[in-house]
Amino acid sequence: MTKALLGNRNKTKSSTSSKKDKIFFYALIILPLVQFLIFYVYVNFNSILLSFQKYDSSSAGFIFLTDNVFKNYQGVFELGNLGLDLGKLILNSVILWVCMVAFGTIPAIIFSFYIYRKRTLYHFFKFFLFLPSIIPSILLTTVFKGFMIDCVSNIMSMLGTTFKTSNGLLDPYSDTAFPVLLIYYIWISFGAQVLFYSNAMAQTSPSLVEASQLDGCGEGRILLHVVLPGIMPTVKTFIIASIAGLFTNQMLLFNFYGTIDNAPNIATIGYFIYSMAAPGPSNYDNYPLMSAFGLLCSIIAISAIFVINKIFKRFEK
Amino acid sequence: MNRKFNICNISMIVCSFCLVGLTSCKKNNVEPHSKDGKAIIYIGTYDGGVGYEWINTICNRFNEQFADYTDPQLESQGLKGVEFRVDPNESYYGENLESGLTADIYFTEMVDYAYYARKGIFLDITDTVTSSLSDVGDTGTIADKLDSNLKSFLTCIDNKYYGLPFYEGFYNLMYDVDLFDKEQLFFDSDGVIGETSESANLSKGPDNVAGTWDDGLPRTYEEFDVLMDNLSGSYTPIVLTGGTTSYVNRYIQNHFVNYEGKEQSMLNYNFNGVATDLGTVTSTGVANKDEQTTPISQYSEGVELQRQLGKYYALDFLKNHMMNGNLKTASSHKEAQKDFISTKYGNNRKEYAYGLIVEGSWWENEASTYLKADEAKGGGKLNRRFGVLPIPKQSEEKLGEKQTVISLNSSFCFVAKNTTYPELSKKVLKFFHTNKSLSSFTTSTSTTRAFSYTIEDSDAPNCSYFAHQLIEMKKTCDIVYPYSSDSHVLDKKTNFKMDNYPWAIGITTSNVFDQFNNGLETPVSYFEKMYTYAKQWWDK
Repeated sequence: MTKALLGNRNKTKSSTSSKKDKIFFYALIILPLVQFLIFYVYVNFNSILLSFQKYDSSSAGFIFLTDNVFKNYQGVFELGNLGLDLGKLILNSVILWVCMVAFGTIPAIIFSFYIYRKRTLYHFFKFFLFLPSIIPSILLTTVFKGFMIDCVSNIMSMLGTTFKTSNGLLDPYSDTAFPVLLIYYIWISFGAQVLFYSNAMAQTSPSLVEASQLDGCGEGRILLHVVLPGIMPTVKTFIIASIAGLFTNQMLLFNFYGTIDNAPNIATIGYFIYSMAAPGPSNYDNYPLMSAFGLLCSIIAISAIFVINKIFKRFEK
Repeated sequence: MNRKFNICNISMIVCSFCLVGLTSCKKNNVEPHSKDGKAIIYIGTYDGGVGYEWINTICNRFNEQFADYTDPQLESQGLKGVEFRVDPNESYYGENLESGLTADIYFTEMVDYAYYARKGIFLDITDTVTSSLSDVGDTGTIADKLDSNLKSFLTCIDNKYYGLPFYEGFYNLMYDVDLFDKEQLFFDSDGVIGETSESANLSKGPDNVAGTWDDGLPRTYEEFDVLMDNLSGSYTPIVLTGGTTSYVNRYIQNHFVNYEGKEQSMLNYNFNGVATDLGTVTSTGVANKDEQTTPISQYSEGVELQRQLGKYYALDFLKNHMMNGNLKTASSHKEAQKDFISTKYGNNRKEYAYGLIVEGSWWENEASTYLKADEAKGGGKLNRRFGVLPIPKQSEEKLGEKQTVISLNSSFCFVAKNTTYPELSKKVLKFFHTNKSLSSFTTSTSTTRAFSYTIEDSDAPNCSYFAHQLIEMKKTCDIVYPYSSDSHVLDKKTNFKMDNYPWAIGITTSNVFDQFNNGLETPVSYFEKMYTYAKQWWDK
């Protein structure tokens, strides 16, 4: 009898505890779940629907296209007729991606290795390289813009260089703006990569490193033959994930210039879509076309991801 | 204990996130009435050049006139009298209003009026606009003070008024009368520069009428060039406010409408009439006007209006007269204003000594900090004499044709539909549109409102010289309010945005200044591309 009572009490206790566990679990996941449903499922679903709609002022909303449901997709291919240098925009986006991979990833791996090996001032470098990722980008952009215009460009002017506008080196119509912005963007993205790679390197077994040192390996060989193979999945993930941003990366151009007029020298696909679909009702009629454009870009990016993934797999073999 | 704490903690975080979301949907009037039993009206305004001090002045007058204001709604809640809370905020920019209206009454700019009215977030104020103003101490109705084109635009949704125009956005070249006097930059009746504003022998100005506000100022593009030559010796002739070059593109819209006149200009928005000024331009810049006129009876025919020669002459003026080594872009609009104001004292180096500034009509109010600092030198808002340079005519044949200017910025005022006190808010809005309040606005801001009104005698001495100039300009010029209730225009809103129409030559290209400044286009090529591009998007 007593046993039965104790058993019931234990049962009640465990059922209360499991109830609490459930509440705890649901409380924990509800926010990310709601966010996922709204910002991933709903927003993307809505974008797909938008690409088959048009803005209708009589209802102050969007209505489905009836006469030609693919009008927006057709419109994407006619952007060239509307004066858009699509080729240049794609080229800029690809250059940005290639430079990010080539000049961002490789130095980031080397620096991460430096930090991982705890060389001179590694704490200092770790802090300062990661600093741009902590400071709000708009603040950093303003400081950089001020530095480039008021300091560097002014000094160059004093030395005899003439600039067409007060934007100096950052004049969006000049040939200098794109490389300057590219270097800035790579620098600003550097910290995040270093953090990822140094954390991945930290997982490398110290005994492996010690063994290779005993075998007479220098730092270069340790990096290439011991550490790099260990972090390769991270590098691969980083590169593949960056392809997803190939057509959405706007290189912080909006922070620098806001919405600027036709500037094919610097504009990327991401910036074009962003500025055309800026928030506010006065841009609503652009949304369907930009949705179609975005979807087509996504198809290209997904295909590129499969290709790169295949290339990686071939190298792994 | 720990687990309980975790559950509570996480639940609180989740709830707080949800609350943050919900509060953005709810009206922000946490206090609908004051502790002393007064209804609180929140007035939201964009914190820009026009400022908000003028709102306080009018609100104080309302409280003097209606100290014990009450209406059935207030009575039922036991309230008497009104307390105003003015909220100047940059987030009240027209484009941001969709996230929710938190104030009762708004005075703001860049408002997509037709969209918001259709969306139902503005209160129907038809009775306020069309009823007599006698209850607020004025005669007539607000509608009587409105331009007919504006009226038809404002009533484009269900034939009702959902808002009223706010300030007039004139983009002009501003000059300092004292500086012009010092340098003797006024023209005499023979068209020779070298007079002061006090001279008895001034030219009649572009309107060709003696004794008006534009006397002695450049009448034609040619005389404008002479002025530029005279200024360029000791000054930078024109400064363009930094940060945005769009001001200059908006300014040259004045040249287009001034050449075409109000009726021909409005064809671009109502598509109803006969276009008399269409033409082509040869590669050497010779304009050939079409021998026959072109009837425009519907939107689809409107594309032809991109061939209006006034548009070409506006482009020509910018490239060949303004930018001909005369124009400098300052690093910021504040810096440009500061240096422009201090130029008169002769202490600025040539590159910071400006003869003219491209600015919006609110600029003097925006520069009030610098003008206040100027008081120590005997200056200040009431002692300084800034003027509006009239739009020169393209040729002598055009002299005497009525001057036409364009008011931009899509600036509107309205009552939020979710206002706590609908009748009171409408009453307040009505009070803001009496002649006394309109006059008070101009006195305080040196900016005009898009209504027909006069400056009260009691306000006149407190109006700056610049404000008087604007009032005079309003009296003698036709004003184009570039709004359309045509469904095609409302559907293709991006193409008809004030910075895109009529200047767009590509989906992302409409900044004439940047195109010229970078040598990408000439006036002739630009004019041709405007038409070619319009044909690509007009009917799609």
